[in-house]
Amino acid sequence: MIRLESVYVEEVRGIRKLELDFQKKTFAISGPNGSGKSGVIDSIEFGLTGQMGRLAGRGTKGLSVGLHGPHVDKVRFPDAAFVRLKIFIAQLNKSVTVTRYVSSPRKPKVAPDTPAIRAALDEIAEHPEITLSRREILRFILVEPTKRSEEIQTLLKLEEIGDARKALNTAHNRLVAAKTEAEGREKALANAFQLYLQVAALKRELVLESVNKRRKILGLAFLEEWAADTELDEGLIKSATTPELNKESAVRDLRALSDALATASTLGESEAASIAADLYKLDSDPSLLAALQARSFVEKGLSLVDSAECPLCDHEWPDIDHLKRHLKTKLDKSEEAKKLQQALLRNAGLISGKITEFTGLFGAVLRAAQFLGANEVQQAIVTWRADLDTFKTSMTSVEKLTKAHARFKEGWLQIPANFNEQVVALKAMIEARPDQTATIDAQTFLSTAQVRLEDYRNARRNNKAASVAKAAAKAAYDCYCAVQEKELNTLYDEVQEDFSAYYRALNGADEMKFAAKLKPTAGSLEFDVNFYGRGLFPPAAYHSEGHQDGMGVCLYLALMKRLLDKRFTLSLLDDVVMSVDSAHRYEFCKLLKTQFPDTQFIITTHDRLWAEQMKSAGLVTGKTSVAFYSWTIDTGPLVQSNEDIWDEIELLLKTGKVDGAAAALRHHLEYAMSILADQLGARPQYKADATYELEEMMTSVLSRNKELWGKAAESAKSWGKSDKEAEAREKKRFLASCNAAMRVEQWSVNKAVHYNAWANFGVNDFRPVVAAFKELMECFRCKVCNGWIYVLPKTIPQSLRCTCEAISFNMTLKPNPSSE
Amino acid sequence: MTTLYQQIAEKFLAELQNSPNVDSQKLGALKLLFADSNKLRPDDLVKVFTSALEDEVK
Repeated sequence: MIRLESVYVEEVRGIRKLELDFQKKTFAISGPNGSGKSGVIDSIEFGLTGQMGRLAGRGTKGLSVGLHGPHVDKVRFPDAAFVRLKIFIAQLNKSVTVTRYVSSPRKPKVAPDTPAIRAALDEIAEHPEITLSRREILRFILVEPTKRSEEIQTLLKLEEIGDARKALNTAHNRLVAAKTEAEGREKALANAFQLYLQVAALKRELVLESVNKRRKILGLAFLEEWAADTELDEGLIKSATTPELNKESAVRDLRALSDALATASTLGESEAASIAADLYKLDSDPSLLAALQARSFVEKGLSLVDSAECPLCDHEWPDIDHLKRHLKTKLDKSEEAKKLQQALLRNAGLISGKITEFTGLFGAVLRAAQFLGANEVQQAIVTWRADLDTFKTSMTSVEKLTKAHARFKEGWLQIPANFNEQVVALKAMIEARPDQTATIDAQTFLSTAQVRLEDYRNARRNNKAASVAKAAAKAAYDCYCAVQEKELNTLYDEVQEDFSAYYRALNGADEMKFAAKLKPTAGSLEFDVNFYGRGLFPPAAYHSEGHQDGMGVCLYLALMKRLLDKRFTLSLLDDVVMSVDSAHRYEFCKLLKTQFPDTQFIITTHDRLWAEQMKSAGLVTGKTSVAFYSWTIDTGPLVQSNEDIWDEIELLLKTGKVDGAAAALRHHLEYAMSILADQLGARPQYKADATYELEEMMTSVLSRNKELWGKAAESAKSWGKSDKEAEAREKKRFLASCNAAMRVEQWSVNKAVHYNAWANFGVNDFRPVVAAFKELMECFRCKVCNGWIYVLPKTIPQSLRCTCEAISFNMTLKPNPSSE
Repeated sequence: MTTLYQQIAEKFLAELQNSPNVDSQKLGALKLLFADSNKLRPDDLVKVFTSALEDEVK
């Protein structure tokens, strides 16, 4: 993919104007908290993708690049805020300049601008995951398996995989519900048909026997065979007038309804009780209800997302992925509510089926009532059926069930008042009808039986269709899950191998037996790690927080390697290296250098010693690192450049700004002396609050360094290396002379002088001071690699050296054979 | 370069060809849905799984 050559930032986040030269190499930015480091990362990310990760995702409601991307003093002038990146695109072997304004983040200016370059830049913009901040690390480690799966799938841009699985699952669930409904309807209409025919079972021979008995009365040919299109009333001349009421069948229909009414009080009793209990839980816990309501609302919204504009509130998001992630996070928060919702809807589905079956008995009775003009019972049935149909629609969502809560407690069927009496009256009316002639009876029997057969056939066809659809949906869902699991297993197997290897490399002997297991199952990702050979446990079970942080970095690197492979050429690590404890920093640098030699890391850290250790380990150099020593709202980050500090001071002196020059000098000395004290093992008097004055730190460093050069000279002498001995003694002598100069001039950079007597201090008075300190500081640096010198190990030094080893002195004395 | 999702979709559709529960018509419709850059919707899938049933079920 790409490497960064340089960045120029103007009025973005906390930066006013800043230019950094990355030289296509790994680059370190150090500085205290609040010095503007993350602003650089934000700017680079914005320049590459048009987004800023810190202004998107969870916990960033109300934040946006448009409103909060510009410097706070330029909020109303987003045109003033821009980032210019010089990017090297390896596959095109071209350097490209990309300028992106906050006012139009999706329209970068590209020079040169060709389709191939645009395509390469579009590919980069597709990978915001190249940026990793510390707050994101624990997303992979300390989350529930279901959330981890989503977090990692988000990082790997695998959301589509999960979305497809969910869509297939939802479709399958809907078709399962449709099948249940179709099954209930078929059963109800089969019952109605069987009741009408008065047969023991719906078997062809029994049906034909019942039908042929009537056909014989009418002189119609017997039906010998049963086919899919058999018509029971075949040959019957169908009258346009309303068919005569079949007294016998009407009595039977009424009896079926009466029987059902007799046991109606227990119909769906257990399901209704479960629903009532679950609804009580919701009533008792408002937060659960709120979570459920939000869930339903968000689910609906998520299903409607088709652009970066939220379908629920019309808010415009940076892109559709941000919006989807935001809505999914909301859904994840309501896992308990989800289980309750599933139980409620499952029981509601069963009640719905029972309503279908029960109201299936109404049709024939209603026709009889209409025929006889029994208006009261007719009206009662119509009203009751409408009521039950309405109630049935309550079975489709928790919100509707909540509104019908009372009905589940007090008998949901709600038989109308006096209904039994009305049914008895109707029965009496039917029985009072004169007996029909055998001919009329046979005619009405056949025509009614045909109508019921058609109803039953339709219901059976629908049920079969529902079965086929359900089977297809299940086959597709199961197949997709199997393929997904297999593919992700392969991916995670590779990731877990890399992750374990990185973590072992990072922790060395401490974790020689370390291994991890990533295990995906439908929608979730289990993650266990070995704890000192005692077995696999979740990362948070026994490992310290520091170790968990380290795991997060290693897992990120392993995932990125699998995601981008050779295209993993750039990564922005924002204060992430703090996750690596001090004992393993060199190993971390080695890991990056050896495992990712083709990746350019832009690394920020608030620990300047860490930054120096990156130099000592050869991950970066003086030219590929920068330190911010402070930040103000007017200036942005104040750069403590190793390279340019003396030029900066000179520039300030040329413009008469002695106070600025003195402040810069003091900051540099404080910065450099603290590094040297650490690297040389200096021994200032210990202070619990670590507030060391410059003078005491400098005295301690000089004293220690003179001691070290003395020992280096003694060592060289013992080994007979006269040239090394002379070199070490010369350095010690030179240091002593600088020491004298430093003591003379130090008063001038004393804090008290800075703040009290500048009015009487001229440029020419200060120049010798600067020269003296510049000469002094050169004693501690390598002229070749520009790095600070250091000793190894600090306690009993055996080597005094620099990173490139242009300076390299043995500190151990040659053993004296006579003393052995 | 195909994404992992595309690889999964491709293998899923290939394996589904062997399922007795999914006919060629449904498979063709599923291929179109998975090839579409838009998000897969449950409503569309339900339509696919319930399609052409009247011809199939006697």
